[in-house]
Amino acid sequence: MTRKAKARLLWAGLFLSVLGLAAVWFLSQNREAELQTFAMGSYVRQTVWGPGGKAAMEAASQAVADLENRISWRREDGDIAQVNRQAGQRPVPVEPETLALLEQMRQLSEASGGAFDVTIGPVAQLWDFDSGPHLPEAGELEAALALVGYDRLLTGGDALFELASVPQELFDGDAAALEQAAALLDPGMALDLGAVGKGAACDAALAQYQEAGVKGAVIAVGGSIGLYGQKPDGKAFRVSVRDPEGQGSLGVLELPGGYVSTSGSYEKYFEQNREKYHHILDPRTGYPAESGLVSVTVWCPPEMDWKWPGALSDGLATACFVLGLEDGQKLLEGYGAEGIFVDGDGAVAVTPGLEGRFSLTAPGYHREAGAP
Amino acid sequence: MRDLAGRKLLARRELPVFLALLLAAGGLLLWTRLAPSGSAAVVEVDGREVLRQELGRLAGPEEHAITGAGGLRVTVELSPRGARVADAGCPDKTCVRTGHLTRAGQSAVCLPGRVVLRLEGPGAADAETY
Repeated sequence: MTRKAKARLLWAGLFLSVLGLAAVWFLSQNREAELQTFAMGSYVRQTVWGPGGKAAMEAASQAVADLENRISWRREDGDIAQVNRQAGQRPVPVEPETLALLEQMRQLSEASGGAFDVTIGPVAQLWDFDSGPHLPEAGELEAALALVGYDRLLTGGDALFELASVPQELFDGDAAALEQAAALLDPGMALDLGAVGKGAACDAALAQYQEAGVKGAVIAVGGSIGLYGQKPDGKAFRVSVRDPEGQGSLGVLELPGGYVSTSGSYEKYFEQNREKYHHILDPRTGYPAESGLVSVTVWCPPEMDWKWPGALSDGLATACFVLGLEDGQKLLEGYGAEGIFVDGDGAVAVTPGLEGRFSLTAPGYHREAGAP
Repeated sequence: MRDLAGRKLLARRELPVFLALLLAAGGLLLWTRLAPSGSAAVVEVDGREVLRQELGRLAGPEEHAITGAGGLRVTVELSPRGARVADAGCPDKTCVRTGHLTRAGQSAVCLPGRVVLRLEGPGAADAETY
């Protein structure tokens, strides 16, 4: 082989190597990875784009499992179970993350006038929608309802110091430990984060995606969705909203990111004495909410300045379902969140921030004017 | 095309072959990434795929018995028009109530058996909220 030919071969090899490396880089930037697991009593599906996707999904799965251990009232060693066990007795030190979640959910309970209540535990356990749903007797429901009240959940510092029941030796005079504690005032009271657990799981997962530096990701914990970063094609995320009456899709949301949650009366219900009872309870009456709505979908945009925006979207969806269209829209406005309200007559109302982002595709529904 | 020393990197007659190769590689890449595929039904047990069927290739409805977590039996029915959970051994039957899945992106979930039936395909949304 001549020198000239050798040089030519070398250059061609170099050129092809660079081309190959560029192709590998391009593919790794856009590589899609998926993972399916079960957590929070739900099917969890993750899709992640970009390098490090698989590791990020596994880290997110672990973060969701850890969160469930902390905030499920069923996990005996978890923060929430311990606060419930010590209700009416003493404050319990909890993880800072749990404390932040509890404080934000108490704030939402207050803002919604109790339409959402983080202390609904005694009433929810009576209806037992997860294992043996049944209509409770009026007397026992009344007794359980007396134990519901977000204003009797105390957290951190001053509020707890004022409690005569705090044994000083419990914290060895360590004020910092008390700062990180939560307490329920009356025996029998119980926290229940079931309505916001899936959204909180989305928060935990998105924190992992951010840490891993992936390009984009979607997590669905049951019907609660977290959208992170960007898709490889740069297009908006497409989230289908389930048709509350039929079996398909009500329409599609096109979003730049953030969190989406839905509360619908169709999802979980039972029939007794020819009456239908759905699982979204009104903490003010103890019975399934009757606001005329069949489904509310809430979107918390990515720029929202909340520590738990996913949990917030879940809690807002529940609160709006209980409050009904008008009060629900006002509540969303106060938080800078958006929503889709569907009533029993097939009217679909969309808040201004979702105009142009939601396309209604299901037959049998009609659009109504949005915000009041 | 000349390299820095002014020697010819590719002879004029080699250029078309090189370009053709480059085009073929690019085309192959685009085709594998963008080619539309038909809707497929996917069944998972505990997150692992146990069945995948292109619906367009079915002549008519067919049933598959799936054994889920704890030995729970779930029957899925696949047809060219879609898929559904026809029967499930659990008491709540939420997956059966989900009904017929006809669009990519839809899913029916049997939580007690950790069985998931879902449709994949072009035009599917990134997620479904419910």
